[in-house]
Amino acid sequence: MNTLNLRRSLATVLLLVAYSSGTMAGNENANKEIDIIGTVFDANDNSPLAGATIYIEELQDGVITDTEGVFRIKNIPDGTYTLKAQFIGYRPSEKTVRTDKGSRSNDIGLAPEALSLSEVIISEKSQARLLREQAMPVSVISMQQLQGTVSDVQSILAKTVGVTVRATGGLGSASRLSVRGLEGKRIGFFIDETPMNDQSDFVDLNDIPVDMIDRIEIYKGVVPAKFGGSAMGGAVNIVIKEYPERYADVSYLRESYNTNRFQTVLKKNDRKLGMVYGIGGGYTYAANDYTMESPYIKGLKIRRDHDAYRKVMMGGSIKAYKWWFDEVELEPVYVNTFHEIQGIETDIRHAHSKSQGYLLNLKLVKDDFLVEGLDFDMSTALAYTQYNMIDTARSYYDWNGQAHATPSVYGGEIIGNRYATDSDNRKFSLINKLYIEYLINKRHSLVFNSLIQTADGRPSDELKIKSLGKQVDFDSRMRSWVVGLTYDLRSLDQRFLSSLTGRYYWYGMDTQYENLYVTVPVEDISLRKKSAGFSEAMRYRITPGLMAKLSGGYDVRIPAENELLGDGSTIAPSEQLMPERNLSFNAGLLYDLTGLHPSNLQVEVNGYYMHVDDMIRFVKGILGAQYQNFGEMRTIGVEAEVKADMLSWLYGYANVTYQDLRDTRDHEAGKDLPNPTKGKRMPNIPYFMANGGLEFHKENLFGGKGQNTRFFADASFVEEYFYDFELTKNEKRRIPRSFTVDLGFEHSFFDQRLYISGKIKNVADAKVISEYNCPLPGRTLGVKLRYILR
Amino acid sequence: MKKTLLFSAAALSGMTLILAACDKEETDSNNLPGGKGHILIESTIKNDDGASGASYLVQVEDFGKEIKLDNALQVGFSSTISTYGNDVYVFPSEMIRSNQEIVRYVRSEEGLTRVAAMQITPGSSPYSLIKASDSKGFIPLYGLGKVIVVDPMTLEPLNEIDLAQFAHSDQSADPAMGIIRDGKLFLTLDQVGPTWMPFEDYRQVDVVVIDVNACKVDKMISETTTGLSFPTRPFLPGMIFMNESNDIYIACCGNFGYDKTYVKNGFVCIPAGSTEFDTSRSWDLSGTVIEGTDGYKPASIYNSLYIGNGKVAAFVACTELNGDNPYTSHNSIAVVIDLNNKTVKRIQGIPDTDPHSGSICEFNGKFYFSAYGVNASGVFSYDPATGAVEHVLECNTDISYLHIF
Repeated sequence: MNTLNLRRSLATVLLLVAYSSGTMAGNENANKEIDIIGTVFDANDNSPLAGATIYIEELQDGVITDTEGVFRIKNIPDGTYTLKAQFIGYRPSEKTVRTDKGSRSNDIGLAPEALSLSEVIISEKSQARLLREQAMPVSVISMQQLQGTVSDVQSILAKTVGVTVRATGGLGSASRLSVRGLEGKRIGFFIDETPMNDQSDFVDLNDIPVDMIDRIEIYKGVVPAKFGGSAMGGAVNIVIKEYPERYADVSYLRESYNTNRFQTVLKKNDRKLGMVYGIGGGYTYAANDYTMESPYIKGLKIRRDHDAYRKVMMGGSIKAYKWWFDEVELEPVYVNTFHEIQGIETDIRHAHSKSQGYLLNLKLVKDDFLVEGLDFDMSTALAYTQYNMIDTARSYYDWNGQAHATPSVYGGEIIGNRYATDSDNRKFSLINKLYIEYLINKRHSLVFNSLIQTADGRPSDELKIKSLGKQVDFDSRMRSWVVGLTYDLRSLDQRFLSSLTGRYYWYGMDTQYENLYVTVPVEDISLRKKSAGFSEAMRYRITPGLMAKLSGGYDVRIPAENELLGDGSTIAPSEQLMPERNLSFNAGLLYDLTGLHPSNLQVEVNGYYMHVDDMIRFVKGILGAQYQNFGEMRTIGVEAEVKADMLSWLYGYANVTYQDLRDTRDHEAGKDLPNPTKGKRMPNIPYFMANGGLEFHKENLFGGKGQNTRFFADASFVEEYFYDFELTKNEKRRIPRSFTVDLGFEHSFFDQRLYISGKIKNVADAKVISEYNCPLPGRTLGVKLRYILR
Repeated sequence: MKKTLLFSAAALSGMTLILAACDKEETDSNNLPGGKGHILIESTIKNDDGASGASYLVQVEDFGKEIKLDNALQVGFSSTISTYGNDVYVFPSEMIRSNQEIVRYVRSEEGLTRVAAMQITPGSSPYSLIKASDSKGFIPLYGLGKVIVVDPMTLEPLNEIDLAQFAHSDQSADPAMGIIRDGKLFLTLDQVGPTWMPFEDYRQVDVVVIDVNACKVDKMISETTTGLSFPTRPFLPGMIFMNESNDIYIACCGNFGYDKTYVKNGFVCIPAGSTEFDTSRSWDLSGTVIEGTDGYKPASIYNSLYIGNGKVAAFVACTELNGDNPYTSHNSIAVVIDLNNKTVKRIQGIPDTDPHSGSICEFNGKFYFSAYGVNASGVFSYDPATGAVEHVLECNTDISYLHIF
């Protein structure tokens, strides 16, 4: 018996002791619910399989194995059950378990096999299916859809029903994620449930290597309590993979416009000590030197030559899983970014930004914390960030090459600014997220949730002060706390789920304000605001494959720190900003034959209604940009998606979204006059989108063994929409209709150890714009090489 | 001379002529953008911040009629307009990025026809055209501190006048608005700093005198005795005017009423036949109580139009009415200013307005004010003979520009 086998056996013995205790207790009370515990392992070498799915057919419920391959299914009634174990690259296996046979081992060995994509889809039911079966509306992009792709996260999200990505340029450019028409910071961005919105200047979606992602969860409408209440209307949670005992992953991507991305992840699981060590990093460089057509000068083609982007990310992880806590994980991250600023109206030649961020995250997890049935999950993140904006050129250039003096003698070539800037803005922030769930019994549980965030900003820009003749950016301090209580109710047959959440929001801010136009004494700003919200989500399984969902809520989102305080350079403070509130309802039907039928057909239809008050919008004016409250608006939307294995070698999907967002203000702010845009479609938000795609996949298509080939084609359509309220048929400021097709391939060797993949984005080189007057790259080519050692 | 002009035109910095290319859609005389009518308005729908939104140029058939925007012509947000006869010049928006071109439209009762356009240098900030003749016009470039001379029909650039030497503390003297008298263009210089307000150490009124024929600067004259500053907003021709005696008066805004420590505003004068200020005729309004108010005094002049007999129709700002946001505050009230008797009298019946409205024009002996109040907005007529005010056109948006043909 090798060490691993011994380890597994010891674990099993320990688990069996626990199991036996439960069984004995069960004998005392026949109705008592008990836990099923076991391990899933590789039948060849007995190594544990982390992340395998265990599914109880009779209950239509399941769990995922932990890093030791251990699973635990809690609080199930006595009876006989069929456990189905599945894991990518292994043949699924079943085992019948009688809970009154306490001495039996529930270990399940899985035999490796050459990967078959259709079977992957079956095994991929795993987390994806479990998540889909939550009461909340959620789309899940599983690993199968991510594997080996040369796409970045944004491109993947953009193909999801109800989601659009609003980009302003090439790699590294400012972009916004829009979920059901709500966008910006209200759409939560999480990595492993840790909120990242306030770090979005330093870490964005595309910084996360696709190869490290296990799945992407996209919540729409009601966002589960576990995300802490900092999001409203939607959230994207990127779940990072759990790795096997030894793992190395190295990849290099080369794309058009001199885009290079190198990424690596190394993991080591020391089972003896119960420690997992990980280190990873990435280097990205993109020249973004594509040619665009000037939106201001008809016929003028401009090669973007000042849009270079460079990012270095390094991260580590030390995780202990044998301490008193089930899991203690410490993750340091360092990010360094440099980005030139590309001019569109003028030829910007010098302005650029730099940033550095240091993040440290500590995660503590323990089930049965202090008392049985109390699960504890807390993460605390510290971040220190430094952001520099440099715009000191003394002249600016038009596209004829003619130099002009900048308005300020101190410089500043960014059009619209009348000052030079050389900022050094530092910020220290803390995020503490606490999630405590108490399982009262099989049917009832309570969840306490708390999210504390602090941010202390220290802007500094002597040059801007000289240019303006006054200081307008000041030190700031922001504190916020969102606390929630959730009651979960499940029927014994698991057909019905209900989740009722109440939340309380508080935030405070202290800073100073100086009117830009008037030299008066600096005003002290001290705000304290509070609010409350609630949500309810229900799910009912009508048949094994058909499920209905209903959810609604009154959510509040408190303004983010940089919405209130600006960014110390281009975004002005907006200390009067009110929290935005969203009353929403969602009704949906999911017909899901995954694992029930060879087609794995999934059809989902959702309809929703939202009414947002004091919606926070980003607006750009004469002296910079600012966040503003926008009265109220409502959305009625419907989205539908279908996906299936059309043939054993062909997978297809299609989705369509129609979202009708309308201005519902009766009056403009502070006026008695009727609102001239009442009932008009909200500007600058797409309202009709569709996506579709096909994927051909076959093992050993070109002979040999241990190989797999995929070819895929994705199409995306966004209907034209307007930058302003649509008041005249001569509306000029439009974001044109776009239709793009991407083609790609992926070929893996050596049982998915070596990947070669390639992609052509926007094959027809269609003109694409998603933000007004910000042309995006046309056709791009990319090739990626990836090697996995495990 | 002709050669020189041609050479100068070729050398003009970054100015590219766009020939009068008209889309088929825009030349369809049955469906001209802007719609039918003889009242031209620029309707502005602003966002709550007041500093962004959208604007539309539309004709209205007559007072009392509904304003229909469905065939309006979208222009840049709060784009400035110059009108000469049936020529309508639309300038790019300063407040939000828009097309970097000046467009000349010819209006008729049927609508607006685009006939010429000129590409401009981004950031040059042209706001108005001062027409000298059918073959010559002056476009001050606020952002670059220059004046370009153009053919007002074709918008072909002809010459350029650099005013860099007159700039205070920065690179541009901010040439604003002008008036032509005796072959000279009297062009105001706003001399604003990075926050678009006058420099604290330079509160005076500067005007350059330009020879219209030679397109050369004769000299700069300054009024430094009263402490008035910011002569004319750069897109409002009524803020520099001549009375019946050909005396030039220039309305000065000062700090727009947003600095309580500096509220000087009023008029300076360049008498007929002179190219110097007559400081004895300068008048700081900030000490004059506005009749018909609770003791308010003007803190800035936002717009003005000479109505004869030494009287000026105007919008003036009062600090008592200021809000937090200068773009949305209803701090501007309609008044009649008597230059001879040194009085300021409120015109009762016209609501206090935010700065996106405040246009004033004359038609058939009456004066028309656009105002956007808290509970009434649109166009209000004022009869100087009787003092009668009538709400003649209702509109739920700001009216940034008003002209009656």
